[in-house]
This record gives sequence, C-alpha cells and structure tokens, in this order.
Amino acid sequence: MVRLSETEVDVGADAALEGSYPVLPSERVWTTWPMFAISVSLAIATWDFLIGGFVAYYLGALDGILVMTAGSLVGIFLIILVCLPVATKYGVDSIVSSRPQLGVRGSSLAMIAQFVSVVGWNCLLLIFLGHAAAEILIANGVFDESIRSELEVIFGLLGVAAVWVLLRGGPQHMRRVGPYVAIAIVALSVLILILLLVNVGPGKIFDAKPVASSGSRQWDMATGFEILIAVTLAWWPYVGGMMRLAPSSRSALWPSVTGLALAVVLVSTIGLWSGLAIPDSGGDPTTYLVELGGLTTGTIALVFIVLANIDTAMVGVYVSAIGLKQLPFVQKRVSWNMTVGLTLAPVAVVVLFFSGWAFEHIGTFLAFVGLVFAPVIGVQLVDYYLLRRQRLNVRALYQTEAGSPYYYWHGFNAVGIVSIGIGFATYLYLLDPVNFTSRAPYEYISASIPSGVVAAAAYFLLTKLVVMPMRLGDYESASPERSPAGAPATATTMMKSPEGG
Amino acid sequence: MSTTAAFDEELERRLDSVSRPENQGDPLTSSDYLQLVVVTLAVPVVLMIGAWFA
Repeated sequence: MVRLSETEVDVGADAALEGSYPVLPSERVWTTWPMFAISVSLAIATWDFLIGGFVAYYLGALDGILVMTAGSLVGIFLIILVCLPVATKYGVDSIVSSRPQLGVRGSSLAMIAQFVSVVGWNCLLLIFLGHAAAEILIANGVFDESIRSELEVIFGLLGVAAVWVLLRGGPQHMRRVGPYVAIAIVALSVLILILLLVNVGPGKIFDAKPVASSGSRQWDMATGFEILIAVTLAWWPYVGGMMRLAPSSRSALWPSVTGLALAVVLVSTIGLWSGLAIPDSGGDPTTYLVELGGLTTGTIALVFIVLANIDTAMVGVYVSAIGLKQLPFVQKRVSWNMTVGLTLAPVAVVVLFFSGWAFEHIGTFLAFVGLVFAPVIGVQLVDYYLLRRQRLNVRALYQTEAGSPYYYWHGFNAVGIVSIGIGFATYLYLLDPVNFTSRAPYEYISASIPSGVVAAAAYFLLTKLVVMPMRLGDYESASPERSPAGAPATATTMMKSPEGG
Repeated sequence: MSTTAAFDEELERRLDSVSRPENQGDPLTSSDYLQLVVVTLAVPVVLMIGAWFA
C-alpha cells in the first residue's frame, strides 16, 4: 500500500483541485449554496447585456424574455446531461471526460477549444471592465474625455492583474469570495432593472418594436432561441470544472439550473429592454447608465459591472488554467500561479493592443463558440448514455500509451473528430455565424440543436460500423455483464496497482 | 521521492479510489431526470408558444 505523508496528501489534493486528477469525494467542497452562488456569479456578466441587446434586434420586450428563457433552459438541459453525471461520479472535468470520444490525445482539441473560448470570454469581460472604469472616472470629472481610450486599456490591464492576484489562493479562495460577490451582483442587477423601469418607463419599453426585425416571425424567434442556446452551451468547459467539486449530482442539479439558466436571463432582460428603449446602446449599459440614473446611481451601477466582470473572469481563468494542466509538462513542472499567468497572458495582449478590434468582432466570436460546442456535446451525449451505458473506464482516462482503451488511432478517435466535423458543417449550412444569414429549415429548428443531433447520429453509426468491430474504445467493458459496478474489467489489468508496485 | 514519482503515485491512489463504486458521487435518480425534462424541455415549449402569441 502506498502511504503518503500529510504534506504529500496536501500536494495530491492540490494536484487534483488545480489539475486534471480525479477529485475525491472528501475534497468536493462546493455544496448547494456555494454551487448556486458560483453559478450565479458565472452567469451574470457584461456579456449578458450584449446578448439581450442582440435579441432586441429581433424580438420585443415580452416575447424576447420568453424566448430567451426557453433557449437558456434547453441549453442548460444539454449542459447538465453532458457534464453533471460524469463530473460528479468520477470527479473529472470536461476535458478529461471528452477522452473516450476524442481519444487520449484527441481531447487536446477540446482543450484548445476551451482555452480559446475562455480567453475570448475574458477579453470581452476585461475590455468592458475597462470601459466601465473609464466611464466612472470621466463621469466624475477625475479625467478628461480625451483620454478615454487610454483609460480603458489601463483599467483592462488592471483587471487582468486583479484576477491573477485573486486566483493565487486557488479554488478555495474563489469559494470564499464567490458567494458574497454573487449576492452583491444580484442586488445591483435588480437596481439597474428598477432604474430602467423608472426612468424609461415600462410603457415605452413594452411598446418598442424590435430594432432590426427580419420580417419573419419564425426567423426572429429562432435567432433569439439560438443565441441563448449557444451562449449556454459555451459553458461546457466551465460547468464540468465546477461540478466535479460538488459532492453529488443531486446537490449540484438545481443550483446549477437556476443559478446559470435563470440568472443569465435576468441580466439579459436588462440588455433586451435597454436595447429596445435606447436603440443606439445595443444593450451596453456603460453607454447610458450615468445619463439615465444620474452620477451617483450610475457610478454605483458601473462599479457593479467592474465587480461582476472580475468575479466571472476569475472563474473562467480558473477553469482555463485547469485545462492547461492537462498538458503533462504543465501538470508536473509549472506552478499554479504561473499557469494562471499563462492563461491571462493572451488576454493582456488583446486588451493592450487589440481591444478596439476585439470589441468590434466579439459577436462573431460568440457565434463561433456556439458552433464549436454543440457538436462536441452531441457526440458526448450519445457516447455516454447510449453506447457506454453511463460507464467509463476511469483508469483509461489517464492512460496515454499505445493500446490503452481510449488510444484509438495514435491517440485520436477519428470517428469522434469526423462526427464533430459533420456537426460543424450542419451548423454552417443552417446559419452563417458571421453574417447571420440562414438556410431552411433554420427558422423552425435553429442551428445548434440540429448540428448536435447530426453529430451524435454520425458518431453512433460510425462507432457501430467502424470502432466496435475493431474492438477499439473499450466499448465491450460497458456491457452490463462485464462491468456491474462501474469498474471496468480492464481497470485492474491495464495498469499495475499501487499495491503491486 | 521525486516530484514526478509523487504525482504518478498520487494519480494511482486517486484512480484506485474512484474506481470503487462507494467513492463515486451519487447519480441522478429517475425522478431527478423527470423533473429536469419537465423544467428544461416541457416548460420551454410552453414559453415558445406563449412568445408566438405575445
């Protein structure tokens, strides 16, 4: 039996919490309330205002809320199904859980997608943080309007530094901070909502027509629905990382559903209504808060944006750093603080040199994020629920040598990658994410859901026709008679046990 | 003990632990799945119908 000293156990716990190793039940510290608070603080961010502002192009005040809520709930349904059971059963994150579908090396593709998407989200957050901080100082007469751009960059970089400092304590620190920030965020969100109702008036908001309706009711509703699904699916890397810290599936289920799906609708509603009432704003509150609420209230609300963005960026950088820890060199040689720094470095570069360009192209980025994750989720769902009967070979998730159960072809599962590619093509056929032009039947079925369904169907068929006959992927151990307790028959034979030395 | 060896042994210890059913998190029950389907699939259908007529 391997015996570890207390210090070594601490090192091991850090390796799991701050790396890719399975988290043991005793280390799962996020119970119901912290999970709800972290979910709320993840969901509430500046991008929600822009999402609502985008929906205001196509839908009105009431139908916009209904469609956004529907899209958000359907998206969270898929996220819960794909992330929650695996993360809480085995204590692994989203990237590790993609190895049975993509291969032990192929999962690096998911890691790249995760890293790029989280960097993009954080660029958006910290650029907006800079906008809000600059507006606070200019509106209060501290600095002149002529240096707004410089202030935005400086405060964006200060935001990057703040996130790095806050994350030096690891996830335990995030747990301590998250709930309190979430309470403040929810309270301030309601304040902004009241401000909008009192100053603009519900009549003007509810009478306002969509800013750029396509003329097709079906198309407008499908687009509002699609945007919220895509945004929710983009939480795939975040949610897996969060849920592995929950002690059980049940304790994480409703805190996640309510905290993520409904919180995003709450703040997006502010963006929707402001986009309708103040069409030039595009839902961006930094452009109207001081004018609408006066200096004091406007400043408080802008401070809310700064706090919300730091908190959300903190969660994103944590999850992204966990993703980087999947690389063996980073896992074993690079400290947690340095890994966080590596995750933030590209964000700092974008904030410093490309903030204007990134701001103008962020809509395209968001659409591509949705495009990427829908097929991945479709493939994972069909693999875990239908082909593997909710059983993974947890030991094989970490075996990288040739011939190991999830090695497939040179570490890549070509069937998984091809199926995801088919899903991409389906999405692109239905909806051009750059120009938002579409082909039938997009207006009836949107784009993310069908692309995920097509990818799942392709994976199911190709796995049955190609992978299973070649006895790759360890599918035989998923049959009930081979593995009654979730411990695959190959688990003890593929690697030596600690006792065996 | 080198750092790499310590990490490998730590991974072994964890895999040995989570391979045992008693150390795996509790799954969702059928009732949980039913409630999830109602809230996140049936409710959205109603909401979309409502939005159409709003």
